[in-house]
Amino acid sequence: MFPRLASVALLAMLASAPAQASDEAWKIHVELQAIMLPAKDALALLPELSDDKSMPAAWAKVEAMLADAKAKISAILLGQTQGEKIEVRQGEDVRYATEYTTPWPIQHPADDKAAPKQNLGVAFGPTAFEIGKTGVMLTASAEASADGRRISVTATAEHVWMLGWQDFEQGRLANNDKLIIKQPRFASAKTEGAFALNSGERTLLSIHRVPGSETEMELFILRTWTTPLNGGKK
Amino acid sequence: MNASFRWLLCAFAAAACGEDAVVEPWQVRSELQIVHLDAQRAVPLIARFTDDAKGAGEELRQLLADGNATLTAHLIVRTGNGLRGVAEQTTEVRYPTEISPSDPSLIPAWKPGAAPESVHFPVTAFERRQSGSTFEIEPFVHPGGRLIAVNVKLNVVDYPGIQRFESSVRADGTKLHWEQPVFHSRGNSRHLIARADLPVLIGCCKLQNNKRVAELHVLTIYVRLLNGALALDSGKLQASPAKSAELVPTLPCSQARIEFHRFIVPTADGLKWRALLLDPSRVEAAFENLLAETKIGSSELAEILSVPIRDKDRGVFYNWREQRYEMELSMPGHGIQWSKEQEEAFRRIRIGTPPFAFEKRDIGETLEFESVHDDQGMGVELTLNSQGTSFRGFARWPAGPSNGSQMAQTYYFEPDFTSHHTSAAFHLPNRQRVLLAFHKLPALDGRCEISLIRAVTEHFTDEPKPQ
Repeated sequence: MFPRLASVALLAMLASAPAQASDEAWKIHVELQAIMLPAKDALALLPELSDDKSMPAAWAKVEAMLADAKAKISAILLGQTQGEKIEVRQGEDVRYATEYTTPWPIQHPADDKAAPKQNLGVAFGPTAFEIGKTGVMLTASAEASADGRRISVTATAEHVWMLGWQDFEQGRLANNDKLIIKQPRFASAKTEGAFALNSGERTLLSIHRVPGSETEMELFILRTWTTPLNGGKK
Repeated sequence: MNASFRWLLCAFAAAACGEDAVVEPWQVRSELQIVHLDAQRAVPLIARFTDDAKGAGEELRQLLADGNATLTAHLIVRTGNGLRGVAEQTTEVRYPTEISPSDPSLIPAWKPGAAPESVHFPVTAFERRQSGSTFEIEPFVHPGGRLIAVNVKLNVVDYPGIQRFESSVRADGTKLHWEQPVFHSRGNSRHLIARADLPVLIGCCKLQNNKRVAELHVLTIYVRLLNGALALDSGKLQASPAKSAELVPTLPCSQARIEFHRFIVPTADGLKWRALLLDPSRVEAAFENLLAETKIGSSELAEILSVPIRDKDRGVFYNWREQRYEMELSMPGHGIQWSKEQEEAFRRIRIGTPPFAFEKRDIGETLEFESVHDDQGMGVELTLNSQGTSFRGFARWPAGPSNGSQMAQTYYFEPDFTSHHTSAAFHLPNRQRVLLAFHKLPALDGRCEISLIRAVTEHFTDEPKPQ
């Protein structure tokens, strides 16, 4: 009973507090580190990485692994905001054909009478393209509390890999050679959520297998912190 | 101090005073593990998740550490109280969905004894599909932080490879094929209640491409009140009180775990089992014996589905393999007017009926149910719809040439499915296993399938979160 009354009294005091704290202005920094490490080490670290209290110790171990080259950085994405949306990406644009012409025989020039009668080959040119964006992407928006010690974040972190090309048979030549078109194969790991953190705190956003690898995993570790803007005044 | 912050403080003060329909600023971390392990080993572990969730979680951790289970995905979602979050790990699979029938004008005139000509069957449309795991969660923390009501949606898709469909045979005997992908998908979408820090088994099924392996979907939710969260203007990080009031259950409340097992046994044995399974005093022993027989191999544990369901709620769980089949076929010979020479030549070769469009049908088990729990925890009023579809294979139908011709017969192939369906509403006593269905299987000669179901209820009271 008493703790409940005490909390109500405290809340009432806070609610009626003067408005001076809201005059402060903060720049919010958001950093996403994508780190690849052996699956065995990642799973061993997972309980510590998942617990906010043991995260600093776990992070020290990750840093030691990075120093020893047992872990590798896939990307470090850093953005700053005062409430606006941040989009940071490090990656490659993969362009690929999606539509093709009907195959036609490539022939020798009509005036080349000495040319052999057989065709030079078959062509089927691309007529439309698409772009696939690979790499690590961070989209976030963040707001700080009036005292700058807490940050509310809405974040989407994603890593897109291109695994390779997939063959699709389009037909056969007389010698049974296949007519092939190639299409890309993408894999992705993505997480999105809206949550709050203490300024300076790191948090594990995702742990996932690296596509195509049985032995490697990747961590998404997000850190946010505030710095005063213009001496801390709006 | 701005208006939304003041509103939040007032709302929290109201919560402290014991009023409902206020969302506290909890921070929630939801972790979903997808684990593969031997199906035999999974059966007792599933039951343990209801009776001793902590022990089951530790046993699972040990199985993983010893290499007796495989962690296929570990998805983490961080959200505020009442907010939706998503985690996914996927691979994009592209495949042709429409293929143009070959243009007859592109096919050169036939000459007896000639070498095979080039053929072309352009893909005119592709589809994309994500294989992998997608996990969505919307958690609502009950005041006190001990219980969390969640809206959860999980979809797991495997892409084990392709299936080949014969499109035609060339003059030299080379077979041409279309390739279509095969997908296995399972998952569920529902409300459930979880205890903070304790694992809850939200789903379980057998793998479609390896019936010896079971897949477990284990959710663990951790909550914390951010130290000094009241100083945070977190109006954007809270669900509306109205939505929270709708989804957070009034305590005490209950949840039942529905366990469904399907065995395939020789029909002669099945009739003996049936008599035992209909007897409430012998059903549990018979179930254990059936399980033991699957180790010897005379019977098969064909499916395990295990899901929790809240009181007065409904849920669906599915475990499917998509079976694709030809839907539209080209005319034999692509509609070419055959000459005498061609007919002569076709005595020695076969021609195809290339498909150019495909359909799919979901093969596997779907369990759909609604439950109302009685107040004394004696059992569950269950309205249930269980459906299963099996794929027998492709039936071969003649496609040409016409009767009386001396040419070789060609065929097209159509799928042959069998299905069973049980729709029932009945009282399921707590922890009492009952025989749900007994089907003779036309697809597996001389065998039948036995479906058993059990409900185990769990009660939630207004317990404080241990410090």
